[in-house]
Amino acid sequence: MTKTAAVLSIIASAAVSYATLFFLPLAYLAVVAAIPLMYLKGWKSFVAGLVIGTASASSLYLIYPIQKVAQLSAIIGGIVSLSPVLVLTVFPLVYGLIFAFASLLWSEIRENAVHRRGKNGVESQN
Amino acid sequence: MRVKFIVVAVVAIIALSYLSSEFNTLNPVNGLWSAAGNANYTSGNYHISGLQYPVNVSIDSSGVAHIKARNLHDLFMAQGYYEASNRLFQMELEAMLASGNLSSYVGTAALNSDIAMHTIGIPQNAAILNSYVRTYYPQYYGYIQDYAAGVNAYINASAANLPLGFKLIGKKPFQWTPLDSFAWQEYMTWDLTTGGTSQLQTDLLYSAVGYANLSQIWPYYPYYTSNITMVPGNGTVNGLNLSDYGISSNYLWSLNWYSQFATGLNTTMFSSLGNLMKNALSNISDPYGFSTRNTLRPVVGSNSWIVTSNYSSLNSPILANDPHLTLLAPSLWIPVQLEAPGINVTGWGLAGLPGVLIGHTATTSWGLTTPEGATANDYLEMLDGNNYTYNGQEHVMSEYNYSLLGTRHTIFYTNNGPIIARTGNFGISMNWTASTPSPDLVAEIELDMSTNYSQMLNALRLWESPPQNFALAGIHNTGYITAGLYPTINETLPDGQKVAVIGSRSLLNGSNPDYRISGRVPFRYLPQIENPARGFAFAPNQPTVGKDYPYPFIGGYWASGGRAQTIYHYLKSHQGTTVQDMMDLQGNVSDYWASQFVPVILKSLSSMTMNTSQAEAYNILSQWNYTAYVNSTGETVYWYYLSELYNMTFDSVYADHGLSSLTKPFDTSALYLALNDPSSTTWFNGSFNKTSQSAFAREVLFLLQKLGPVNTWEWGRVHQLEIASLTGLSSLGLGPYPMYGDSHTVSAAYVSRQLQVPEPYVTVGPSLREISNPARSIFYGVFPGGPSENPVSYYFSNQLATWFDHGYYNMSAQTTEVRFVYD
Repeated sequence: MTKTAAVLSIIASAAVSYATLFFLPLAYLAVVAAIPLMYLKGWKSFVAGLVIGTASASSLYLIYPIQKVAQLSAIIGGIVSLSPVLVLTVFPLVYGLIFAFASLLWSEIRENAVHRRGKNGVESQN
Repeated sequence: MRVKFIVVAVVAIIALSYLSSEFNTLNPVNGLWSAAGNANYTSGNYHISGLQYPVNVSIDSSGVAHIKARNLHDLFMAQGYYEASNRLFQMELEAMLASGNLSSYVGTAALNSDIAMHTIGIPQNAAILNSYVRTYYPQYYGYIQDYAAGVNAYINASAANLPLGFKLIGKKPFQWTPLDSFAWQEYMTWDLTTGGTSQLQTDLLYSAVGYANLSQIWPYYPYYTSNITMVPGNGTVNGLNLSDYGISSNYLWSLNWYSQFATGLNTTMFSSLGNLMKNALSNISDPYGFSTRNTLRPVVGSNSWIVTSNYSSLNSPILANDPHLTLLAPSLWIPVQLEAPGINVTGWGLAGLPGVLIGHTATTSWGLTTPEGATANDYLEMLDGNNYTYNGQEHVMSEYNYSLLGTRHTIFYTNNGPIIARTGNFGISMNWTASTPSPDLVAEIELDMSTNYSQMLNALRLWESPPQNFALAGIHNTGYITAGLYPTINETLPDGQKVAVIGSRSLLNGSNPDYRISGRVPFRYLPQIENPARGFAFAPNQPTVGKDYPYPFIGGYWASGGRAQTIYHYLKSHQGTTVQDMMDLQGNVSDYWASQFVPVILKSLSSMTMNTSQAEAYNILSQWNYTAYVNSTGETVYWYYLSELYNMTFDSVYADHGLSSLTKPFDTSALYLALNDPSSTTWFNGSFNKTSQSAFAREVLFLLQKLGPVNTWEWGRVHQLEIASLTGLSSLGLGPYPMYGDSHTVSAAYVSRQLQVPEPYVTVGPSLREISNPARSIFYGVFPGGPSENPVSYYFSNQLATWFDHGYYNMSAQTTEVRFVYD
């Protein structure tokens, strides 16, 4: 895979991630947003998924005044007896992890399919 | 190897997705965090389906909304939309609470609260009131419907981005109806109702300590209040007093009003009814902990006073009001101006109810305090199965059935009211005036439309429950009326004379027709005064009228009068009262009873041999000027002295009889006993001086252990304010803050006297402050909060700091900050 294709798949994945987070913000939809990362191989797809997922979800806090977000995280943290930082990071982290495993899954499925196709090709040559 | 990766990934995705369902509400776009984005008001147009013309709304720099519409339909609809956009969660939570349906929101935790609401009769009364207003006041019912339509318009508009509270509990709002407004009105009526619990408490004490001792600690009129009634004088109202019936007030008030002539019951029965009465108290107390009627709370009240044109520096009436309610975040109040043809009113409405309850028009202003005369009376019923005995015959009790969390419950009614507790063949029913429909919202809207004093007075003919001391001020006239339904019982005195009295001191015999409610106080003879000759009048929950009042308040459970004394002495010495004087008085933190009690305490300690700390505490007390600022050490020494004194006297007697949860006697009862019965064996173990010295020694030891050196005993360390959230979640509340004032200061900060450091948080205090002079268009106000329920909004608590500082906003001279149009 070329560098350009890798960059394109990362950009596409980030775009889909933002789209799902904006319009249907359910963490498991990271599975959909991770599809473009299937072109990355193995751990690279995992790491890319983790970074894109966590970063895209976290960056959405920027649509609000940061001081208000901090204030709210202290309040919610107080209610659920968790640290405000954890309250802030829990969704992006879970989303990022689903994203990462989904990227790995798509990548492996694709690799598997390519491998099989390759195998089938060898067999036909024989 | 790759298959392993796939399996691991699939398992991880499924597990994390499952886990994520718990965290989706934390998503940054439309989860809880959206409250951070909704923190400020945004200018623009908001579409409300059903409006006939565009409505202009501007928010001024103090956070007050000014709503201007072209007709009343649009005005009340816009008010509903505006209030819902700021307070929807609070409104719905309150409506659920009042409707006895909170358990459907929060589960079994609210079950006891829901049962209490139905036992008291709040939802049932709301339904009756709803039908009544719809039938007899269709025009006003229409306004209440318009308000509900506005609330629902907001609910529909916000479906995709619900207020924070709904997201936290994972519920969607229900559609608002006029019944929800009436339910909240009924809840507030109960919160401000006197009686019901009081008679049960006094009966329990009667059986524990006997009439003589009970009369000492709970006299019919609190000690030292004869000079401070709301209506100056002996109790004559519009020319009528007790002597017109040939009855001597000295004779009437010397009677034992717990005895059989007054109640139809033999007082020896009380001791065998102890558990029944305790159950009744428990069944009608508010387990949600919000109501000020909770017996564990200190006796609370409100302030208001007026000065006449002749007494005012402005040659026109000035009015001041600060109603004391549970301080909540968000506040029960929401400030607003409502303007349309026929109405231009500014003030504070109760969130969930249309109109303005306390405020002013261009030419009138008014305020409210609670008069503390019984409007709920308890009856002992003779029961047999589902029958009750009345006038020698058995009758079938009517039933009211309701379901909570799938379980059916039944309330039984006698002709006196709902059975609030039952043991075997005895039951206690409660006759509460709120079961008679009270079109208070109609009266309120008429007040909002008033242009002069007599229109205000006329509007109050419709006000029934709870009776309220209305302070009224127009351009020229000012005065008071205790408006509302006071039920009367025709009593035959031991000498054979008959008199209609208000309420009772005790349970009444429900089987005997002689003790039924048989009438009401006519409007003309309700406690009232117009343009008092002495130049001022005041109504901070002290006795409203003197002992010659033609309808004796047997069930007058008045406040101790400490605030009333401060107000009386202040106004008496401030002829030519200015607006600044009124402000200063609202901010007054002097404890009048302390000024009377401390010399007595010091005298009792003068013969005591003291160690260094005790001597230091004694010096602080002797030099104290009776003010309760947060840095006052004198207040701390005084307050904990009294706590120890109570602990050794009243608390110990109460505890011996298993009555620790009952309301404690006033400070003035302790003062009276110290002065007039210092060798009481019941209260002082034979010697006030010895008890006083022990209390002082124990106090000093206790505070040294808890607070350290005497000079660090600042009041603010032990006396703190918490403005709680109705949800009970401390993170959504405000405080605790070090708090000035005490239970007897005009700037009140009530505290339940407990031997603990810090004291239990102050939760009740001035829920708003209003000062007005309509003749010169002078209107000042402040309240401890803001219009928004969003805890990260500036408007959640934008007026709090000013309230703390006893500051005010000029309500007619604020700049506009944000404008929007409802169309």
